Amino acid sequence: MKPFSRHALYRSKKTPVSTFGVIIGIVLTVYVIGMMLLFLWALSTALKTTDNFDRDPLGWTRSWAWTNFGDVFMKMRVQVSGNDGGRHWVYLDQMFLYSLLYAGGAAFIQTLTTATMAYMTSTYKNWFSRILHTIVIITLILPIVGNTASFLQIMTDLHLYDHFYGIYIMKIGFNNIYYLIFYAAFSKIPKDYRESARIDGANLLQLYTRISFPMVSSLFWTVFLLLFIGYWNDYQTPLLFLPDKPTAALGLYYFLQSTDPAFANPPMKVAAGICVFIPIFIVFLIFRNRIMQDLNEGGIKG
Amino acid sequence: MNQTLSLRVTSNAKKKSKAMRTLFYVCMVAIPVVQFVIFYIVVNFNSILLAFKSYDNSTGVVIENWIGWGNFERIFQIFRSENILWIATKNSLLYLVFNLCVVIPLSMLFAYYIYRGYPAAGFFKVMLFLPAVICSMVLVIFFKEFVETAIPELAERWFHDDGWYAILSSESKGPVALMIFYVWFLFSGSILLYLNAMSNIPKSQIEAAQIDGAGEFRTFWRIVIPAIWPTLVSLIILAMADFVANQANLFSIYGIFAPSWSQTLGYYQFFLVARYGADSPVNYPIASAFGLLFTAIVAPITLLTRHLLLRFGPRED
Repeated sequence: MKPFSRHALYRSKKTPVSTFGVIIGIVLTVYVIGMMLLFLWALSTALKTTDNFDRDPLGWTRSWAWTNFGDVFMKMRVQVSGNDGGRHWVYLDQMFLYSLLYAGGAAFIQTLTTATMAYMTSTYKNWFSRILHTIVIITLILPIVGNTASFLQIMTDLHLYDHFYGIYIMKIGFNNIYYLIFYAAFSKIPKDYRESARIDGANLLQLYTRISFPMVSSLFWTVFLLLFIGYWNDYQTPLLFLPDKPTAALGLYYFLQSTDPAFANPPMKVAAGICVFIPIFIVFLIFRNRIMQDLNEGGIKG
Repeated sequence: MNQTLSLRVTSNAKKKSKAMRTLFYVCMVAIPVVQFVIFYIVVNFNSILLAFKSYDNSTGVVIENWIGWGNFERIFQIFRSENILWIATKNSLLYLVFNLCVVIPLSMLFAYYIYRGYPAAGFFKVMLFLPAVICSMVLVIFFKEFVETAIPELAERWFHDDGWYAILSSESKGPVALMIFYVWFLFSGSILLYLNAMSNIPKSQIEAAQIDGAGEFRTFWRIVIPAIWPTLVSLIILAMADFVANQANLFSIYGIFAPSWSQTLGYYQFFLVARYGADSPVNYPIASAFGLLFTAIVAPITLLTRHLLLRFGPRED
């Protein structure tokens, strides 16, 4: 399916854009131009030397200081406590590795748990499944705030604090909005498919992994990508729960707060922002159709 | 004899199959359920207990005390004697109003534009979604540096006004800059949800309305809004529930040094925990009491609003 075909249902030469559409179009254009100007300014700034920027913070770069990006890898660092009890520095390359471990692991575990729980409750319709389904709906509509302190205390008491496995365990949650999307997708799969496979000798696990799961695999990877992007960009969870494994987003937070004159200047800071932005932007460019497709479109295959 | 044996075998096979199904079910749901019990029920129960405790580490050893309603009295004391929580409440309300009155209506209109496939709809869709992909810290750096360096330069060149330096520290200009940033990058989160909801509207419904002479705005108001009403209600509820938790990017911009005039309830609460993190639990009780108090206020209002919106809102039929 083409990426925008579903939303372009009504595009036709016979139906001209109405005044209402023109007004929205103008507002949208202003909004997008504003955003593009900010990004262009940032790109230009990242390529300026400090002197060049001080002379002309607005104009397009003439210095093409690509070395700023190299400097970011050399200078962007966070001091952490090591396993030996001493202090040592974590640089951007290692922060990217931590980002990958945090975002990749947490997103995969959460997507897998959510999909599995949705499969179980939609397929095995017993009293416990009904309770689980109700729990998800209640927790989604009930706003609870201010439990971060308690989270931190429980994580510390369970020796999960500042460990990747602690974060992974924390993310084995199914009470999120994607549960309902998976639930709807699994509910749409005809029961006959599983029954035929059962007659052919498939066991219960195979019914899930070989029959039902492949039909929602597209949705699975879409949800995984959305969660991955969210966790890659999240710096507050690592700040509180993984302080000695700083991710790239957390490193950027410390970098922005830094007052060290060696890198507390706009070109360096903006270049650091671009360095952290590039990997996820590449992921976005490669998977943009999958990420932006309707989640209900990606639900069922076949 | 053979028939009885056959029935017994069938019955045993059924029992075995049922036992296998139960075992499989238990194995598959056990870990997530245990995780839910610990990380939702225990965490929130512990949060309630924390609200009635205090921690003292003035001697170097953390001592835990039960202080009853002491933390709540302290919060009311702060409300009575200091401005900070009043300012934070006012700012949080302001962000909520902007979210409900600007972001949500504009997001719907933008989504409608894309849904109708008007010129450059695909391009706008990518551009609107882009901020959701970019790390908030990256956007904060771009915005902060632009506002602190490029805007003063522009003001000086175009208007010969040199009073635009340190905008984000200025009590007069700072709030406007913060609000623009908040609104500017908030659209992307909900666009796909609206598009999802709109894509379920039957084509025939729109065509029939337009054949009957309904203009574009009327179609949007009478057909599209009722069709996406449940999604709209969910996003309104999310915005309301976020009233207490919304940090409005303040922690990203200022770290733990946000000026008092800029603070929101969400920032204040996060600051209490993030200031010492896991190093010291001294702020945990007040942060938990704060959360409990505001959950008790916000949760019923949010649930009541949801009920009323769904009960009295427009219907597709």
